[in-house]
Amino acid sequence: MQEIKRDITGTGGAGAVVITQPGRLREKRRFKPQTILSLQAYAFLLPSFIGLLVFSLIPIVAVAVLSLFNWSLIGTPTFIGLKNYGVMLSSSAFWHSMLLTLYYVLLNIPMQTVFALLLALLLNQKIPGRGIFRTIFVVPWMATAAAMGIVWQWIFDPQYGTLNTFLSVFHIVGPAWLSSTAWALPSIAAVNIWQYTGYNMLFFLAGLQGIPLDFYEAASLDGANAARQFFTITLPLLTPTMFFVLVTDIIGSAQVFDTVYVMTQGGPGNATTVLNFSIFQQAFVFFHAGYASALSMALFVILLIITMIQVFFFSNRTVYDLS
Amino acid sequence: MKDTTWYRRLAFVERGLVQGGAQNRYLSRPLAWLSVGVVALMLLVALAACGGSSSSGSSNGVVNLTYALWDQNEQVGYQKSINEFMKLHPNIHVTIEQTPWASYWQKLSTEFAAGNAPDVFWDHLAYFPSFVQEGQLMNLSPLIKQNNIDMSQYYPSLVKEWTYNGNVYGLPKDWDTIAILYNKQMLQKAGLPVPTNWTWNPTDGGTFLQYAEKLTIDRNGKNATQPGFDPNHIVQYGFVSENNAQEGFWNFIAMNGGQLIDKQFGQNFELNQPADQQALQFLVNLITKYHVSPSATETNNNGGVAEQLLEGGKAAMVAAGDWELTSVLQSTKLPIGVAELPTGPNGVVSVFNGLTDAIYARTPHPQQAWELEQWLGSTQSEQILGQGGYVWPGIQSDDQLFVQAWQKKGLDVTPYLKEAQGTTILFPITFGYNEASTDVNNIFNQMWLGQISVAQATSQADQQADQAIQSASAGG
Amino acid sequence: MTSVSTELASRKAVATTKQAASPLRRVPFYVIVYIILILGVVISLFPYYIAFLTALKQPSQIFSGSAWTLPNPVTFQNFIDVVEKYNFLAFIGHTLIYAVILTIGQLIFSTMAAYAFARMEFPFRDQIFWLYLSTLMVPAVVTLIPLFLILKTFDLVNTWPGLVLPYVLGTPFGIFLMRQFFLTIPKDLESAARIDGAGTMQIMFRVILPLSRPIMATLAIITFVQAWNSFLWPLIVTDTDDMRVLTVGIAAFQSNYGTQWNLMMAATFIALGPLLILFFLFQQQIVRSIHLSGFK
Repeated sequence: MQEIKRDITGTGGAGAVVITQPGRLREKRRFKPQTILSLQAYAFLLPSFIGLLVFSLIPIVAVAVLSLFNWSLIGTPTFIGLKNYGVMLSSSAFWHSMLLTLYYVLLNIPMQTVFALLLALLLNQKIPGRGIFRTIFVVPWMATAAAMGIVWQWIFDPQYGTLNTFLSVFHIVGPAWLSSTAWALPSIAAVNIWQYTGYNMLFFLAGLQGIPLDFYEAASLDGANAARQFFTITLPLLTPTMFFVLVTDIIGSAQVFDTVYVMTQGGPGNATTVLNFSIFQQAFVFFHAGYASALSMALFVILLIITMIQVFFFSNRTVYDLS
Repeated sequence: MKDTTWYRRLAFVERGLVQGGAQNRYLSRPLAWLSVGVVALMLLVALAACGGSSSSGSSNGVVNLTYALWDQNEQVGYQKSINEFMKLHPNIHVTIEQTPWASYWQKLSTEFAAGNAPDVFWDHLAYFPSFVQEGQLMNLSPLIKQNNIDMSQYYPSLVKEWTYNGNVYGLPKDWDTIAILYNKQMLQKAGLPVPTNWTWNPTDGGTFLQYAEKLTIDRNGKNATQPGFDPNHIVQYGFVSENNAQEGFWNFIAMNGGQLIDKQFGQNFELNQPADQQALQFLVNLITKYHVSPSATETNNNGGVAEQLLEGGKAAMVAAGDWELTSVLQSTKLPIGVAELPTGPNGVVSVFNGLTDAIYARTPHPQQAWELEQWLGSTQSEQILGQGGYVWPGIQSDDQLFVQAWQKKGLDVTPYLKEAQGTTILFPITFGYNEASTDVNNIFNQMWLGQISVAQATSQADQQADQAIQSASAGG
Repeated sequence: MTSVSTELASRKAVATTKQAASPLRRVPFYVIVYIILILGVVISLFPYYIAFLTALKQPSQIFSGSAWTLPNPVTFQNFIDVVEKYNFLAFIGHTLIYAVILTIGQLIFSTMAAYAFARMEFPFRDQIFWLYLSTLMVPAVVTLIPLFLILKTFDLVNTWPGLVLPYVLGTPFGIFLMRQFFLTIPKDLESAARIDGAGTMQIMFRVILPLSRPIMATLAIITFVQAWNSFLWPLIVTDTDDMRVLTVGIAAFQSNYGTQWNLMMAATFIALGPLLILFFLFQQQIVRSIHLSGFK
């Protein structure tokens, strides 16, 4: 019989350990030199870093450099220094796109996150059919944006579409969703919420299932009701998941393109000309690729700032271990 | 509290570690690293080994050319034509590369930027100025002279459209005009004869408006000429007036004597002229005043809607280019007819447009690419395409093939031909065309919705379009 | 160590009598839950319902009625055409290869990098992680151009390596996801194993990976679906039919000469089918593996 005594509350390896197993050494070396550990870490990083360097970093640096040029994409670039940035910062179209993008993120992310969390909470219970429900809610994420965008265009059609026909049953005259300056961007946000709620639900489910049930048992025995349990156990232990979901979702939705391209092409007017759509238009339709590069850098800076704010917000609040 | 469950996990893991026995079940350290490295290496080698083929190249004397296009239905016809070409030129192999229309230009310009464009590719007048400005297209004039190609076989306007600074950059391979597609049944029900000499004018709309009004029916069965007509509950529209340049307002502006641009490769859009404004006002009135057209909320930024309404029996007439014929006839069982545009104050004028095949200026195989270009611009190739009924061949004498192809399907397409042989207006091309036309489109969307007046819209449109042209002419 | 569990057990014995008292209170709860879920199902599936109806219609029927009008007659010809005339089985094959390679690469290389970021100490660790993360913040629309140029320089355009390489060595998204998960594994487990003499690789295979099955299943599904639906990169880097993927094939039904909606919708469902099957199988993996590791 093997018997192991272990000092679990010790500080990772500093305590004395005795292994009483016949034939084995009494003590093994516990520390590796730090340099070997660092080298191991770099080795673990190497494949992905090579990929990152060659296929991500170099193109990004190229784009940053190109932002200093006047380039029609199909001709030769000419150096103009920071002129693109000057034009950009004084262009009302740029600020409009920027604000539109932020507005879109605000319309999209809070609702998506709340719905996804709600569904994850519901489907974490042992209700019958939860496997089927989980699959169904993720299905919107699985079809190509191009095809689904077209179907949503049909649904939003002012005169013949499903939505307005449905509303007319209640004697509500629906607006011309995708043609209305006020409703076009919210409509696109609605489509993206539809598409990604189930996907985010997956992360919350994984996060919820990582919370040991004993915590809940102990809390309910202590007299805490469901709401209190949610706020003192669930939410804190979900912070790593929440951090991940918010960071990646905000980065992703600020770069929305497919739905806009298929459904409104930036219209009506410039009501849905979000930044990434403007970047595409400038580079591939108007052939101002240098300017498009400058816009890309602007988007990058904004996202960097937003992400840093999130990291700061979450750094003292992320709970990996309830002790 | 944390100990409870983590301890259970730990115990499970410990069993795994210890039960494995002392040395035998462990992966020894160096071996573990080695095996991971080997797997990774194998993966990469496998990837490198199984390859598709890179594009242009040549092997054992056979030159490989790539030919890019965007329509997979026309591709069938082109494949037939190219098969013939390859029989005549056994040392040239052509691979067709089809890219969906919505992404064709993005991909092509990326390939230009990387120096990797296809040898021969479909070119369009909207992009022609930018491509030729940046030297991406091969100048065909010296080759045309060298090979004594008879340019008079093509429609002169087409050759003119594809000429820049006196040089030609493509052999015309097809052309298109705009005509009215109408629902024969609806006309019969309204007691209207097939339109042959109808007219329109900005003042009272002419007989064209009468047609449209008689064909607009509300849910009570009343048409727009009858008292008690309810414009809020229309079930059938007489005509679809949409914010569409080539298939719509360019034609009506020209028929009213207006201009689109000062000259080809010019610097000024001319939409602000009175003749232009009158024509535009007429088209907007079809929606807001005469109620024969659906609201622009249906058609703005949604190019296929007009044809969809015709196909679905919700509209009686639409203005459509002949390239729509295949799709429209496939998508409906209703009897459709073709009529010439109504005669305006300046007669019948249609926009005249056509595609060419362009040769990439930096192709590694200019000689063979020119062979392919010659073939595609030749009557043999254009006959194959014409017989398929996709588009009118660019060579005038082959036109009858297209007519015959559609006669077999029971459709008389000669109105398109009559217009091509009459007065036409050229596709307005200029540097920065895409940006200019996007600006115009956005402003006109508002005008079509009735949100801004025609005068406001045209002056704004001219201004912004001119700015776009100027910034593009300056380069980049 | 066992103090909490024994205390828990004793408290439970006391409490079981209390809990048995109120089953009726749960009925309205279930009703509300199911109403919300059914509503969610209707909203999730309605667009697919319309797409499916369109796929079953003849072209002449698509606009003669409304989007939700039932097809009459129901025709499966669209599905047949898509497979036979338009070569979609080959596209499924290509997309499958692409997605599988990317998923395997992601699982191997992202896990390795994530573990390094989560649990190893090395200089510049956090800065390098930020570097990875920041590459997500530059839109792909423009970076595609230099990336394409790089591949063209190495003659990899329209080849399998060219298609796969930019993403097969792991992505910052996958690394971020796995790192967050690894951070929740208590350090004691690893230090205990290290004390026992296990090396890094053994810790990976014996400690970390068995615990990571749910998150790896999640990452596998996400990577697979993303690769399956990936459009822009395959569009730019592949030219010929022998490398075409499903998304590009579906987009090809739209032309400036007219769109074949019935075929497009049929193709969308053909593309969707394998994903649904795969997902339904995998989502059970996420649940089941939790049970295996001893949680209730």
